Amino acid sequence: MLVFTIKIMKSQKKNYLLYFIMMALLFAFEFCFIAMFDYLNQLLLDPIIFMAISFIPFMSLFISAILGAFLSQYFIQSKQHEFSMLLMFGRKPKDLFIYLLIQFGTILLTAFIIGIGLGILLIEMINIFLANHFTFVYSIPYTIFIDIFIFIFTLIIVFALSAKQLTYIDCHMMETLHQKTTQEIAPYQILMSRHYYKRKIPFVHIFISIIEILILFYSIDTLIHNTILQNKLIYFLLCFSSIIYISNHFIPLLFDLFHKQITQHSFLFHALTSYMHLTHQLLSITNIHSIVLPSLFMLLMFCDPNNHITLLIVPCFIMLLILLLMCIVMKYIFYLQSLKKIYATQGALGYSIPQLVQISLLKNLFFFLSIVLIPFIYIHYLGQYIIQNQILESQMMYGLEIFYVISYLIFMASMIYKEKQFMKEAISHVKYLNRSE
Amino acid sequence: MSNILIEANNISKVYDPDILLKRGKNIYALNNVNFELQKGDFISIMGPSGSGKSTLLNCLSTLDQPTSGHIQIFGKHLSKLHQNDLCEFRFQKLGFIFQNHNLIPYLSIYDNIAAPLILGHHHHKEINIRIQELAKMLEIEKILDKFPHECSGGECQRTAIARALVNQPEILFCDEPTGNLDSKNSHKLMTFLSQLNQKETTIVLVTHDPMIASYGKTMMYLYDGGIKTVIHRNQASQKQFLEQINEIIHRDTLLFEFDQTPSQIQSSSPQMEIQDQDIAFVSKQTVYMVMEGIKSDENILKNSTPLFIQGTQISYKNKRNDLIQFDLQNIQEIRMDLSAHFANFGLFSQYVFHILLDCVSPKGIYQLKLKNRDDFIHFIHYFHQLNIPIDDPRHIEEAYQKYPDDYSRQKYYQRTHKDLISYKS
Repeated sequence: MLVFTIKIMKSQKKNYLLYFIMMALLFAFEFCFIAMFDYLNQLLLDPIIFMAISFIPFMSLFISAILGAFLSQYFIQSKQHEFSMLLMFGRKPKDLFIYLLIQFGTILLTAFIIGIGLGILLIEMINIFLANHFTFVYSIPYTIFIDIFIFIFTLIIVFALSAKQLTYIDCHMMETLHQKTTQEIAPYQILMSRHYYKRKIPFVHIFISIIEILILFYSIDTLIHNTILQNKLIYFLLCFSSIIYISNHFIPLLFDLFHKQITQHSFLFHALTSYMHLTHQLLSITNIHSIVLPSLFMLLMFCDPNNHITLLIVPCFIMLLILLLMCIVMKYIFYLQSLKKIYATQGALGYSIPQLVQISLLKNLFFFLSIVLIPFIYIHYLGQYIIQNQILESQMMYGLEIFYVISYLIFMASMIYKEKQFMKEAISHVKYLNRSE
Repeated sequence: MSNILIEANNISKVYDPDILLKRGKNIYALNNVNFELQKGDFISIMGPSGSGKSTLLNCLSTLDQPTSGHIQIFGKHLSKLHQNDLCEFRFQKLGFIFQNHNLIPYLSIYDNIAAPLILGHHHHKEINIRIQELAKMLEIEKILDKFPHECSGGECQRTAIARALVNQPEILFCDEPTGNLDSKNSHKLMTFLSQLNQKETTIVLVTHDPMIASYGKTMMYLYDGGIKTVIHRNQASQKQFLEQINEIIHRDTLLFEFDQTPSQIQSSSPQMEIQDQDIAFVSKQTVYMVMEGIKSDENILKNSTPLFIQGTQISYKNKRNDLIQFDLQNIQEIRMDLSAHFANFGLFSQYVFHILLDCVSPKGIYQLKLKNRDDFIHFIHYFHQLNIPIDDPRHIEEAYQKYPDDYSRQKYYQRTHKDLISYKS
């Protein structure tokens, strides 16, 4: 089994390396969040202020643990075929568990050790970067001690996910063996029948959508201008619900309502449908993304202006953004694989590469507008409030906003480039259409 | 006006050219295949696994490019078309049905069927009417609001058929269309395809099931990348045709197992009626001369059409596998020309040359494609002995010089070149 594991790791070293780097970074960020928490603990702040401020690294730590589980889940999902092959060759589930223990145990332990080293370095870098403001003081043994708990927690989650995956494979062995485990949930709910005589306008959904849009703008506006803390919290939650509703349900509703008209425009039709496919694939991660980053700034609204804010918010925002992007990239890589067959089919139907590129551009534009821009608008509005109340320096706030936009622009550009490459490959290789693939 | 929709000349497909060049083994997915598809044809391509059925279908349907050889489709050379033109061409003229239906998973059944029409910017009413018609015909009107994963294999396959037909293609390519269907649904689908064919839709179908193949008008049997047998249904009933197919598959499979030469098998294929006199006399592949008293090379013979010469009597197989016979005494003149086609071997891409020999007779032109150097020289000597006028073969040398790099790279043709010079002197 050990020899087999080493062979598999060698043959898939690119995937393993990617997973290893991501996990090492994740552990490093987790180390930083724990160190920040420890630092705040040592400051002996007023309990209410402490609660508000310490929630920033605490939430970041919680989110990073969830993202770690997501990363592991995506990675394990990509190994479905390998596991089913092993089961087919007569390996017992117990053997597979040892196989997983060796693989993930080794990777996660190495990533954890490197992560601690990286974390210490990162804290030093934060100290150098913010040298004018203050110095970060924290207890390394305490941080490592807490970090070990987080590591054990991650390990348990990874094994639980693996066990779940093994059970699934055992029950659906033929499908996983033939790589037929396609999407089992519809990417969107059809609200209006395609039969013209059966079409009924979904008034309830239209009404809810209008209400949600109104809530979004109203809650953002009130959040900034209302001074009562309890009200802020309510509007904050309302705002999130409307953001999630809009990014998940609004475009499918528009697609259904204007289906007749959209079928007249092939690019728009395919861009919208593939956008819904993409957002469905990245559903959990995009929802987390829409909530988490504005939440960091939301927490600032409960704090008084002081130096600790800059120390916490700037690295937390950057590290969480990197983590979220890593998760999106990892999931996106698997999503891209499923696109090859779709591109090949579209090519066979007569869609040329320039046409597919235009569809991809439009789809990514929709993605940018709904998944990236809406949280950005929210962050920007909150930022205005934060600057006005001098909680954060304007340069720092704008710097973070620019970092956000640039990071996503780079990601979007690489998405478009990758998709174009995949289109060329899928259309020029007939194997993606054939039954053997 | 010609009824030929697709014409493939000596197409070969090598999936890994490097292996071919390094090891010199026969790893052809397709080897020197000649094919002709006429309007209204219903051809079933059969053969064992790995015989090149799907590769041939992919090459003919423009989804894949042959390594060497020419494909003319609706009078256009595929190699000269840009990829975008090919896409446009597929959209305009072709329809595809794949075994695993290849539906787009995130589109509803309705949208999947509509996808080709949407590309054509049709009015939504027209799209709806066309989809409803097809859905009713294929009994899928109840699942139009569903997604592919919510439908059964048969329903998905019928959706794929509807998608293939929605644009009213002139040629329908089906790769194992009944692979995921039960016998009842398979029969329904094949009856439907037969009805389509009666309405002038040309169909090319790949299958390994003789029963499915018997729905067609012609059955083509492939083995090791080459067409070994072609039989036509003509006036025979489907049952008789099925018996014929079964007999040929059974016999061919057995004979190949015992390593029989292809020529022996080909000679047992049923005679066919020649439909087009212009192409009737074109040799099936590159010919290899088999003369009495001269030992022939079995390996070359396997990959060529044997040209039997007994005195002045010549016999060979044409593209449709008919036996063509003529007497050299009836030949009025011999014309020679050079054909060059680009063989895509990646880094080792090069032109491959053939000499075309047209034997002009009052009946028509017997066109032979020569590859073997000895054949070429032998032919010239032979025609000289019979006092048949030949146009000056030295213009072949001039033709070669159009491709100076490729010509000089090939020692084989350098020898031909020397022979030409010796002929001149």
